[in-house]
Amino acid sequence: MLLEVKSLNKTYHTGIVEFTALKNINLSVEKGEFTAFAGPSGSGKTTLLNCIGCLDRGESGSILLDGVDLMTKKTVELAHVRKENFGFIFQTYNLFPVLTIAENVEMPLKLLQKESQEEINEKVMKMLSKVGLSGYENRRPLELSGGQQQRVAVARALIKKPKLILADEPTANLDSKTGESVVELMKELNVNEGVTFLFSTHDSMVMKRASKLYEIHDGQIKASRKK
Amino acid sequence: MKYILQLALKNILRSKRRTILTFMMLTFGVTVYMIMSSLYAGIDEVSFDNLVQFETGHVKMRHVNFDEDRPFSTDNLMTQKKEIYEKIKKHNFVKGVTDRINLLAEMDNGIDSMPVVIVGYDQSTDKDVFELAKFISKGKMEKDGAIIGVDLAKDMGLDIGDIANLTFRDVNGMYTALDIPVTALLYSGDPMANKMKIFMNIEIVQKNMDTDAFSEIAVKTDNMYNANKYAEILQKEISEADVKSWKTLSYEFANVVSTKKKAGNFILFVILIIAMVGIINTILISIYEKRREIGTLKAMGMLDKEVRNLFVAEGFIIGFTGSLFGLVFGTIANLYFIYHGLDFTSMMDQMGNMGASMVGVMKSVWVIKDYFVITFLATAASIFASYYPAKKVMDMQPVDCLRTVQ
Amino acid sequence: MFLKFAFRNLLRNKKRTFTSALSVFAAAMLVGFGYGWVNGVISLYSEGFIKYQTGNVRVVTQGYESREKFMPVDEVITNADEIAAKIRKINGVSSVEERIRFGILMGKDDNTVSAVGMGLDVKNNSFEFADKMIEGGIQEHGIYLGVRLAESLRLKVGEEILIASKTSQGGLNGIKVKVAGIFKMKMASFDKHFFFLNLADAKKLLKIQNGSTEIYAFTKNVEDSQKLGEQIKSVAGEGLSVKTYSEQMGGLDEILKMMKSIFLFIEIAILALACFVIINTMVMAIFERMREIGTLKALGFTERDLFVIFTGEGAMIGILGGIPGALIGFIGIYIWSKTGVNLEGMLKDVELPIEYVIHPMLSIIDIFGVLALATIVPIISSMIPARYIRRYLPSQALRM
Repeated sequence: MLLEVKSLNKTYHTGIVEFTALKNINLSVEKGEFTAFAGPSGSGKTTLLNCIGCLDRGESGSILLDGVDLMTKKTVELAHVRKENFGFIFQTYNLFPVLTIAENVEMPLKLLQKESQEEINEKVMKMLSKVGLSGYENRRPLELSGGQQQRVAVARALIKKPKLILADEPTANLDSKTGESVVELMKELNVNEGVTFLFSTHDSMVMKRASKLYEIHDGQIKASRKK
Repeated sequence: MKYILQLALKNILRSKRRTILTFMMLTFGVTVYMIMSSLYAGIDEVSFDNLVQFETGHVKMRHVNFDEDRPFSTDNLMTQKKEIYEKIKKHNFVKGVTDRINLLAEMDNGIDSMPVVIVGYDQSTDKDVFELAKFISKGKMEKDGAIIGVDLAKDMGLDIGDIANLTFRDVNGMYTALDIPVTALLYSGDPMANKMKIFMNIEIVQKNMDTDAFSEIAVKTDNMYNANKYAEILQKEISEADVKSWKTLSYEFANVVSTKKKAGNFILFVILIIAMVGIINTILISIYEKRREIGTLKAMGMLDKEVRNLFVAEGFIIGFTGSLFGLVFGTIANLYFIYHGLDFTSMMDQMGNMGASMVGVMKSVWVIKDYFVITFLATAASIFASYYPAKKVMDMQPVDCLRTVQ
Repeated sequence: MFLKFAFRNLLRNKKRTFTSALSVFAAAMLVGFGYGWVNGVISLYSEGFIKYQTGNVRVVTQGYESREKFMPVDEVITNADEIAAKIRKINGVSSVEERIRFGILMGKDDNTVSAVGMGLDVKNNSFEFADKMIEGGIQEHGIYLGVRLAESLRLKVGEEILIASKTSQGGLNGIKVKVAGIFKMKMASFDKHFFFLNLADAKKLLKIQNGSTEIYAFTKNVEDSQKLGEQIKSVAGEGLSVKTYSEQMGGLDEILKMMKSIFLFIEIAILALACFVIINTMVMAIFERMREIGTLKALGFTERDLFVIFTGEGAMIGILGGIPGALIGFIGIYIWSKTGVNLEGMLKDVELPIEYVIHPMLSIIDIFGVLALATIVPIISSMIPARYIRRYLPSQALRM
């Protein structure tokens, strides 16, 4: 079991109003799965993804990564957890406009400080060819189309071979055709390289591809199905 | 750390206009400070040199009862020249000794009269202590002639070869008249001297004053910067005189210098504050504009501290390079001020005696210390200034930074 | 409506608003105080010049003017009393004085000093030294010495001294006079070098039969000096030089005016520096509320409306801090001007017509000047961050 979430709750307090974002969430993700959270906007899928990705904190319950509870960790430790275990793909790509494509992709490895620049360069080139962007390494993000930018984001998330890649609505900003090609790419990597993906979406095309689907409504898991 | 600096540099280069503005403020400030500092140092050097070479010598002795408010009292003239000279000359550090007499007189050109100060100097020993010859702008020092201030000569309509008519009281209180030919004109750094001093052989003065006494003894030593110590040594042995070093004598003048230094420091302070405020602003805006990027960095596992350092590094780079540019521009500007100088001659003529001991052409000197002080202060101030806004990054939650409308 | 909106927003983050206003308050106080002080002292200084040195308008012969630095006694306005009487009749003139100035060496026992003598009406003159006497009093004959001059010559009231001077005819003349009084005007140039004597006695010493060398006219208002100068020129006649205080001061008056503007510049800079805090606060406020700005834009607010709202918000902070600050600074100066500041140590040897104890003068114009500054500078400062509003499209703003 790679990831296990047990009775996770989260409530937002804004002034006197309380808003229950997540209510008794239980789920699990195996290595090599392609898991999707589906649901309308405001259902809490992004909050759930953020809690799992240690970007946000749940209120009660536990999130076990390889059997280690992440809920009890300190803020600084969470940063290390993210650095070593997770890759993120955002709806808005979130590439750094001042950096070149290659520099964007190499960033996670730079933060890990484990490899020499030559090794990093080699990995970056390989990764870029995998996502079909060979020859773009010296371009800037803003010179690329949305689909290309999201491919760069995929490459960036994947380069350090994380245990889990979290993708929040990766296709929402893309037209359906481009979106499909990005999902295709993610699926390929999932099948060929055994990368585990966990993503939120309300795109039916994406849901179809998922190997496991959790339907989330009003902060609760209403249904789950496995292919 | 190197990676963080690289990232910071790329971020700086993104918002060019804002960076350039802060950068220019710093560069301009540093340049102005450097020019001023070097100019002041130049003025000080020349002024103190002038003072010592023209007025005070390294050490000066006057009658124990000498009173600043009654400088020309004849009761306070010194005698016992031989004894005092012996006591002074036995010290190895003494390189020259001479005596002078000062008195107040009236100079008359037949129509108008003016108060003047007569300085009687010993023609054989004066050059051992002072450098009177250096300040003569026209004519020659002669045994029976007078050297008069250029402005005084102009006011009284005198030139070389003319006779100066002087009236003064001798030691008995009797009015005495003295006619003496002008053989040289004096142009010193001290505007008051140019306006009211007249130098002549001490023997002539003493004969007309009906005395062999003198006002002061001046001593030149092997090192003017040890003058305070030497003055102390001499004072112990010579009880009949009040011994003072040039440093003590120029106390008031030194006060003016320290006021100028304070003004300089104040300017440096203002520059630093402005630069700091500018940097705080730049970093603050930079942080708010890059909220999403900050969130992404944090999501990728960059530590809060590292994200903060990224922004501190931005401030550091702006501050460091800005001051470096300032130093370069300041150095270039100083090349002009040091080797060419500022010519104040025409301005001084109009303004009269506004400044203390200034010469017509001011030249700056290199102040090596400034390079270190400025680099250090500007860099430290930049880091300090960027630390405050950058700290905000640590409190920013990654979810908040990343949040988009759903 | 806009201002109400801006004001409500101010109350949202009270602590931040308060600290920003406080920093502007401190700067404005400093500026109000500094401006009051500098202008007060400069006004005092100009007034001192008029009162003790130049008069509002002075009449001398042209020959006197060209040899002024020698204080010649042979350049006499022979019909001085007639001219003085004519000037007295001009509207706005408060007083007219005939004077004779001369420089001499004074010697007593072992000491010799250079001194300036002045013959005038000892009872009525702008120096008012009769009120500043620390020993003796006004008598029919006799001289009145500055306190430090008397000390230097070791003279006491009642003692006699021989004063000798060149006369208007070129020769030398000496008279013995009794010291009638010793005054302390708290000004180095007078206390150290000056002595006064009766105009008649001065004429006797200098052998002047008719007239005197200088006529000083004083006006009730400084602003009338220029006009009075013109009027005197028309009654004075040929060969005379008529100059106002400003003409006599020459470059110095210009320097004083320049100083005023330099200080004004410094004060604006200080205030602008404090207003940087406003800029910071507003930058934060704008970025925090970017989504609100987007909403407002979507609701149909134009960029100009938003610019006004945010400029108003920043300006309010500045003005709330600035106006009270400037006022308190001025109250400080006002109290100071009543009690006076003793600068004897600093001014003891400065030969300027300014008293050791300084009572800075305040004018209504100065107060309004600072208040205007404290209003305008914050407004301009808050315009700077408000321009960020224009940078982003509504959709972009909504996302932030």
